[in-house]
Amino acid sequence: MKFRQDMLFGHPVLIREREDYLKGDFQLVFDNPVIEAPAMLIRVKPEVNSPDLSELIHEGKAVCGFYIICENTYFNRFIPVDLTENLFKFDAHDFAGAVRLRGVIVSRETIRGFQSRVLNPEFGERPDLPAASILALDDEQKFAVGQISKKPFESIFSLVADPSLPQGKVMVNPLAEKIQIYAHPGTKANIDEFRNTEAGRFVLLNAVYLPALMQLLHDVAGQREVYENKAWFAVFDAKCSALGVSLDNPKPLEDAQKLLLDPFMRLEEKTIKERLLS
Amino acid sequence: MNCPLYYLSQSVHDDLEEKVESNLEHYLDEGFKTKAGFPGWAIESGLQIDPEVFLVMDPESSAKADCTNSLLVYNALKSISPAHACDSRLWTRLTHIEAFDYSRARWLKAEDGEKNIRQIELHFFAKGRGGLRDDNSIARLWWNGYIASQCRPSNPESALKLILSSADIRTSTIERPWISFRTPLLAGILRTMEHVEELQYNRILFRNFMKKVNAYGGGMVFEVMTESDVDEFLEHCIK
Repeated sequence: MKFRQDMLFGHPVLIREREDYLKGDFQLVFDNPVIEAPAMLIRVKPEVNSPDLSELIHEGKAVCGFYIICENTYFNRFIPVDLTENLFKFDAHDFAGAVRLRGVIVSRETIRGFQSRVLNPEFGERPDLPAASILALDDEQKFAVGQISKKPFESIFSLVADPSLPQGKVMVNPLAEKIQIYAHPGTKANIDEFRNTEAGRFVLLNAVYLPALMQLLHDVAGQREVYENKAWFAVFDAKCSALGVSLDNPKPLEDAQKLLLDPFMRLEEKTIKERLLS
Repeated sequence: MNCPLYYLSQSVHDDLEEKVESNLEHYLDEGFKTKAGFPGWAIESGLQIDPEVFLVMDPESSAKADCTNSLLVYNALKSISPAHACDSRLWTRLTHIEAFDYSRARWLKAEDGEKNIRQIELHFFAKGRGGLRDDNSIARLWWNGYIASQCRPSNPESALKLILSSADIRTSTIERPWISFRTPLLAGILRTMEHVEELQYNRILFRNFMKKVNAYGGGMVFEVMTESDVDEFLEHCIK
């Protein structure tokens, strides 16, 4: 019962890149949340560029608001907003790790014979809009709260020797409590050796962890429910949220570089480059 | 008598997690109480607990005991915020020190030998969201109490009795985040279970009911509905 961009509704819903309406746009603009312990402040401004939906809101037949969801702490609230700028104060201790925000416009009652000049004709001339239903849905926005997103990546990976793999190859297994990187025992020994030097660690970031993260982003895309109970997931999700990486629609190469803070740049540092090329 | 609530350092936590097999005899014997004040074993959280509560908990494996224990744990640890409750180091400290006797009696059997290793991994540690919510000996009880108190702040005990009346019902509610997350919906499901008592003991009826809630409730915003509208929707899902 999640609200997703690709959900099918029997009634028109204003969603970006969908054609239920031929014109119009809906967005909730969130400022970056400010933590003033113990409070968390969120400033929100809705932008409803749809005269028909604005009218329903002004008539009290629909309400604009947002969901704020933290899966780790079971926090899930719908917060109604005015069409002006709003400031909300939450208890920061209600959140840990990834927090999702999603703007919606919702019908308060059944709206019979809804009329709009920009409605896609496939809905007929005057469709009914059911009560307590989504009428407009914004993209999901995410951020991270607490220390969890700052945990090092090493804390969620483990290196495992696997004699069945050929020397030099690595495989990723995200189904364990830590993300396991399998390597031939000889390769694992070499990786351990690389880990003992600063330059070696930067080489591993590029040669092992970057592709492993790309694989992981690919595996998790659209399948978070398979992995979300794994111990590594909360840290990974928080890191992605902090950096604006979408787990539903990732760009593996771009996002893996973002998560590892552009690892090739580490190799370009003067002293590291000299050590590696000398 | 209240005393500070501690958690473990990450290194002590990880060390325990890695050495379950070599520590097996400690788990089956007196545990780790002698280490309670060792470096890394007692980092102050700034919160307080009454550790006596763990002495009166019932280690029996039954819905009734889980219900009583959930209330005891949640009331004793009410000062813990949900953010604190996501920290496995806190629960691992409790299961290894303050609540060790209860956890051992509830989840371990000396005669099971090495089979206990898996039980220790599951119930003395808290791996991931599922490990916290469903497995850790104490955390699972706290989360039961927390979710019940969100649903029915004035009477969490009645909510707990319904949620824990069968393993199937807990699985279909608390273990389904998109149900337990949505307080107005879970509160409505509990009211419906009271009106239609058969839902509490007829597993097939309950499963079919939840299937319809999922099928018909997708996309519905229960948060803007009145209680009676939620109830009307849910009653429609029984038919």
